Amino acid sequence: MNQEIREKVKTDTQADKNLITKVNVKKLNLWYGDNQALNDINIDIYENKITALIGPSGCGKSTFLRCLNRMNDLISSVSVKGEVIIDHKNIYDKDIDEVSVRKKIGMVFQQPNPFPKSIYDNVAYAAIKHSLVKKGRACDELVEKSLRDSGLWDEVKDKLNQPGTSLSGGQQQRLCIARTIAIQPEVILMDEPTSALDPISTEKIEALMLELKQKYTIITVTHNMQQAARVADYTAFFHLGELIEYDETENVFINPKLKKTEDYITGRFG
Amino acid sequence: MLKTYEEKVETITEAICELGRFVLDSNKKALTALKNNNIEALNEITVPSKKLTIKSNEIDNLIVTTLALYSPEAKDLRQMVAYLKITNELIRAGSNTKTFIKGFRRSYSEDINTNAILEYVIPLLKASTQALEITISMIENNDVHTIEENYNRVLVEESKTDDLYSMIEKNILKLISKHLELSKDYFDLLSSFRRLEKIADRASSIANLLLFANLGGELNS
Repeated sequence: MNQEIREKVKTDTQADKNLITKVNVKKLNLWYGDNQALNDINIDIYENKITALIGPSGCGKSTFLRCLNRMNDLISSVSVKGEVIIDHKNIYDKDIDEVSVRKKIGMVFQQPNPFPKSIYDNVAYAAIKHSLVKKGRACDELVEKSLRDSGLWDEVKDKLNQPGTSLSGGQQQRLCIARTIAIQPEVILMDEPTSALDPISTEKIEALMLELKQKYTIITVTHNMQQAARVADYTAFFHLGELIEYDETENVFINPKLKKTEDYITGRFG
Repeated sequence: MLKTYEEKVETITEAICELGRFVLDSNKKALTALKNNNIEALNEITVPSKKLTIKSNEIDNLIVTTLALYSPEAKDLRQMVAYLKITNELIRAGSNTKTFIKGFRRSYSEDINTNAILEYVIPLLKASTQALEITISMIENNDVHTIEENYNRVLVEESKTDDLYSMIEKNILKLISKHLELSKDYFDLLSSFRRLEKIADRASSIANLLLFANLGGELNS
């Protein structure tokens, strides 16, 4: 199938399912020094959907995730070629400020990492820094809303002045999610957000992801294939820096198109 | 479990109940027709096997998707496995209903002893329908005590159909010995009655699967 026909088929499928592309990645390549870690990645990530990135360790999924908010810029040996278009703008264009990119694209990490501040300040800090709110009533409202949206409000409303680090692991991770959504991002990146959590906390985070996708586009890296299957609408399988297969999660887990995907999903390698 | 899983299970449960109610409805209509001695009304009862199979395939595919995406365990896993087998049982019950109606309609005529035949078939159809109805009510009910209670009721109805069928078999053989020229019709009728007994068997098998789903143990349908 030539490129033109492939684009037409893709557009028709999108139209059928009312899909809106939020992040359009074109020919993305990344090198750590001389070592190429991502090889010609092309992918459309859809708005208000959860997209899971799966693949064996070292396949490039976290590297790819960090490309989406230019976190790799912080590593001096990294060079990136290609385009990551969000809202018709390539975030790697020279006139783009990476701080504004990271405001639009929030991130939640593997280990819950609250600031050594109070629960209230954890949520309010970035919003005040980005001048989204000033201290006072508006800030209080934003903190409450963010904590409510992250499903944490009822558990912390009476102890907002206590340190964020005093919460349990699962609560800390939800606090980090509240902190992320307080700056009203459009996309939330999650890098193995539940790998350090117990099953109950994991379920709470997964349920929260399903709630949050109503408002945000979520891209998550996970080693837990059951988690990808449970929560993701779309799944992308990476291997050796290449995007091998990308499709609706149901198709990837029930009828993968490629043998390599099937072998990975069924635990035959990785 | 995630809300999305619960929604999927709810969809599957509702679809299975709908499939079951469709088969049950055909049996109830047949029973009403026989009770009213309105054999013509049997012509209006349709059991579209193709439609039932399509519906059953849809449910099975939903179950496969749910198994693949949510990897259910323990009671959730038993429930999905039981559901996968129940759709098949319902298709077989529907097929038995269809064969009964078709066979009865074809062989029932004024030449045979209609009073005796109706006297035999009505309680048999009533018991098999009752077994099916109780079974379908079990699908929607998660209360273990009620499920056990209903399971025993299904076994009673199924046992009733076995006894009734044996009695009918003996009586029909007597009728055949008096009217050998009608033996083919009587044998065909007996064959259609056998289908009713099979429907009760299917109901009992479904009840057994639901008991496995809710209480555990070994799969033994």
